[in-house]
Amino acid sequence: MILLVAFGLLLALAVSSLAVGAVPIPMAGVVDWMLNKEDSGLSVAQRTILWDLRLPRIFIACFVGGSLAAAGVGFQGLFRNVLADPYVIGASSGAALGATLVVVAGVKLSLGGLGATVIGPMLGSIAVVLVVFVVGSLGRHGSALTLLLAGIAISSMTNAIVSLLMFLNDQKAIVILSWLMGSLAGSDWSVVWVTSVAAPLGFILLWGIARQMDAFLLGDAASQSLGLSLMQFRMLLIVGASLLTASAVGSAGIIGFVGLISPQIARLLIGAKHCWLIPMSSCVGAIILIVGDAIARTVVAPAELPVGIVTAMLGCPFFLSLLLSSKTAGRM
Amino acid sequence: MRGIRRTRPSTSAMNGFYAIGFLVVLSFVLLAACERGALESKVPAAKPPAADNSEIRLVDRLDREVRFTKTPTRIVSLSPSTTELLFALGLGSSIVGRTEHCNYPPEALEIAKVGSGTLEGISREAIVNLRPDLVLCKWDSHQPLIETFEKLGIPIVAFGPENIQEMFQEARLIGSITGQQAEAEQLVDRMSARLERFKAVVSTIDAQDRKRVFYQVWDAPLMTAGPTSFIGEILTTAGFNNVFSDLTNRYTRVNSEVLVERDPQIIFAPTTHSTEVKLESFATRPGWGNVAAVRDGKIFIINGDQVSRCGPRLLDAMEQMIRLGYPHVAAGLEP
Repeated sequence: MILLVAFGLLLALAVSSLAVGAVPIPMAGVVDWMLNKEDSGLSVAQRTILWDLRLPRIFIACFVGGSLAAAGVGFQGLFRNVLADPYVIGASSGAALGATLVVVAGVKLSLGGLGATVIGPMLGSIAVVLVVFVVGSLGRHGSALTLLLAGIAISSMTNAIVSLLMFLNDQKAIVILSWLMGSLAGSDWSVVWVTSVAAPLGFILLWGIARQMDAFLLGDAASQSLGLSLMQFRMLLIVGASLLTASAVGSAGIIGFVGLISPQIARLLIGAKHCWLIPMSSCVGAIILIVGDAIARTVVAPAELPVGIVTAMLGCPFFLSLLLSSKTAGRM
Repeated sequence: MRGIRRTRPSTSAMNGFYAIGFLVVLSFVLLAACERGALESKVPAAKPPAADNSEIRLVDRLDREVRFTKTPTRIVSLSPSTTELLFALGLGSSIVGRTEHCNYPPEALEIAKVGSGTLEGISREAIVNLRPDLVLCKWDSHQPLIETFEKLGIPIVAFGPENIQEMFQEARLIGSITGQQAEAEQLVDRMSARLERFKAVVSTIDAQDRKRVFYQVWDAPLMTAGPTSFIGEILTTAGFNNVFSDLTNRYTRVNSEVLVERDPQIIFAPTTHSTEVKLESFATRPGWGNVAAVRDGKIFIINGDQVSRCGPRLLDAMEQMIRLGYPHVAAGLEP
């Protein structure tokens, strides 16, 4: 029920945020435009802004927020730790390396209108998570802790390589930085198409193992006695969660906080059963990012704020108020 | 059983090491490749007009060809140096959008803002809303904007000279796109003549009188300008020996110990490093008390907007440096 409410709220916010931006466009005009009325009273520039800039941006905000939030649930489940986030085993450093290599090597390839600077971070993030997974699960015990430590070690090395590449390519350091900054401003339709395939795929994978995730929370031994194959479960979870993360970092760069806080908010609202928690968390993440981005592009207009600032300042008080008022807080 | 358990982890650990080793080797191969192929941005150039003379074509710094079928009259400028250049070419009234940092000449302040100077702070919506027929962006930090505006069919040119000659070329290029060729030639001639005058004056300074200079780009971390930057260029042209002339990076962190050891006789710094630069702050740095420039009080603040923008006022900064460093030749700087 509360999930339906959240979903309805998400839809309403997505539509109404179409009317919000640096360039004011009246809601009535937006509605007429959406209903495809000839006489929407909007100028050509306003229609361009709506169709080519704002609409793809809202789609991407929705997908990225939802993806990071679902991936957050995945990694928090995997490590049985609510402090885990989608970047905990190297996805962000991998994305940074992917973007850096693409810029440094001057790769200009594009697949179906999709620039190298979208593909690079996606592949980089998947590649590094893959290496972490292979290294981490081959250790003596193959435990979550090994995976976590391998993630930290390999992320550090990847980050060091990124910094080194930026130092050696002084002229391009600023180009690299401009791609690494998490932002939804560069969203366009080609990116929407690819995320709208990759993100749901990862989501379904993760949702498909929701019951196993519930079992896994009981501990390695207990879940194994319930018939859970740990290795297979971990692999499915990581594939799903890193697919979600990769599609997010490819579309919008590295956006923090959403993947960490949305699962907590969702848990307070709907409980810890993963088959509800995963979609709820996605809804929360998408809402946070849509609202955050709408504020980011208006509050200092015509300039823009980095969306991460807004989501953190917005999400944190909300989360704290939920935390303090909730009777279930202790059971997180 | 124990045997199996023992061998498995060790092979797996080996695999892990191979994986890491492979990554390391791969990254170094890539590094090596990158170092060699380090793609420089190209100086933009106008292309010969099409056969029927109906359109202007040019190749920008990123090697993109941009075409204009009519003379642009609604220009958005996304960097302060470009805005200054446009005004110097008499195009001030064609500018419809600028950044927060475009503060010169004073008339620029009346133009609509499209955001702050950084990529994140620029609103694409605000730019589209101005219906520009030419957007001039920075070739390095604004690349994501190019992807957006190319798709929208709004002509966008990657700009940003890295030295005085490139600034002249880009001035001519803007002139040829906007039909202000004559103004561009005049501007370049005027600036070239002034530059030659400076060089003639500087050439009268004996080699042993040339001063060792440190240019402080930033204080914490300590950063300077290498000889390949335009600041490095004006230092050298103004007759100074940059104490960090052995750097390959344009702007980079440097070691405070090396600075003390190289003992600059003059220190230049721009007006602000986010906060105003204080002259007193230099002497209190460990080991700096004995640096010649600090001891002799030869630390000079240069107008940051002039020295940090590769635009038409760069020569003003250069003149100021010559006057401060070599007051005995200052008289010759006037035309």
